[in-house]
Amino acid sequence: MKVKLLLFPLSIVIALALGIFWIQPMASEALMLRARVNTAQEKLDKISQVVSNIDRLDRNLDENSGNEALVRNYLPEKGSDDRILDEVNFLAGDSGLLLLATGMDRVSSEAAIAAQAASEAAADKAELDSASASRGLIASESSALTLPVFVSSSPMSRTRSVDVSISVFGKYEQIRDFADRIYHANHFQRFLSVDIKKKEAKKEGDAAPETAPDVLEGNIVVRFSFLPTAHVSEGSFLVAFDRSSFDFGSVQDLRARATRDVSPLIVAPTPRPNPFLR
Amino acid sequence: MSQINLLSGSEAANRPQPKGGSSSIFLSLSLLLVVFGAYFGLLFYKEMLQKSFDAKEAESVEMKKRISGEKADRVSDFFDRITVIDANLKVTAESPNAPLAEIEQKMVPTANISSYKYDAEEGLVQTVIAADSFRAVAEQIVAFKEAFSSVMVEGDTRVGVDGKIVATLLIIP
Repeated sequence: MKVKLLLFPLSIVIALALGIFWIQPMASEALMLRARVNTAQEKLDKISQVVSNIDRLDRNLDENSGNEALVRNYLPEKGSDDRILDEVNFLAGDSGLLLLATGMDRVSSEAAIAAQAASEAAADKAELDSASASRGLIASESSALTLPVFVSSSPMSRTRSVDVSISVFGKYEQIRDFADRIYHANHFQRFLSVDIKKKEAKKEGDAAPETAPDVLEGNIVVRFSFLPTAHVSEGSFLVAFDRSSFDFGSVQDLRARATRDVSPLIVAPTPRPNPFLR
Repeated sequence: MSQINLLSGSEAANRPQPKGGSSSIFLSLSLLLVVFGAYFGLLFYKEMLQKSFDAKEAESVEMKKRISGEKADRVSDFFDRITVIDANLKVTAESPNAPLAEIEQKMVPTANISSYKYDAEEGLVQTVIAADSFRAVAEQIVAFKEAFSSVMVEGDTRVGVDGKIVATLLIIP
């Protein structure tokens, strides 16, 4: 009889003990796992969104192939000294200038590498900051709980450039017009310097012919750039994929700027047994 | 008065027993059943969550493979080009002829420019002016100050070989 009466309180004690040492840890694990499942679902949704965005953006480019061609032509993927030389010569002639010399100076790759390293470090820091901000207490349990963070592909550091110095002779208006034509040329460039001065007076005994007094000497340095193509590594969450359509506003600005197009240089080489003779 | 038990032994045996004993067994078993039920329920739920998690992770890995290839390259490449172009358009919003246009508007009749250097990187203009007099140089500086944020004389202002007063001005547009 006494055992029967003690059975219920004893079972309560056993139930409590089982609850504390067995069920509670399991319930915590289940809750943690549920949080992980929710995060995994969010991650999956994000990835699906990115995949969907890539398809939409690709279609968006198909619909705006003219804009794409303009952009690719303006900022080419390969440097072409021939195109730069032809453009400079064409525009100088178009402005009525005498083109004396052009010089090409590649922008140091060391500087480009340093810029790239700095850019990558900044991107990594942003990624870490963003990831740590999005993580909860549970997140430290597994890397699977981290949501994808969009990162920049740092195109600025991938840009390659060549500084082209151009020496010309001509009238003030012509040099001014030439600078304006290059500025509006359909080629990615940035002016570094414009130097215009009066031609030095002819010295006695100098065999060079005297030039007209209004002829000036112009030295212009322009940086032309190109952007090599980069392949997207698998599963990279680039900032480019965080949208479903492109903003073509910049292309409209570009159309307003690049108003002068130079027709491509077409050559017809002929075989010659002795290239030293014409 | 003393207490006397008037019931016989057989009557005590026949009297109905209190139900406390069987109900406590029932309650105890029920409680243990609930506890074990909760445990196995949680175990099942955990297994289900784990399977769901594994499935989602596997699907994520598969989906990630689709974030690459020709389409992704094309989209990323165009975006990069637009980004670089946009930044450059902003940096080069001002024409390289802009300082010249201002200078043209602010020339005084008694001075002319003999040399002009525009450093677009630094945003500095260095001009050498040739004026009829020192006063003309001062007048030219005043005129330039109307158009530019800063105009400073650099080095000597002196009489040149042709008798003109030569001064080098450093202009910040």
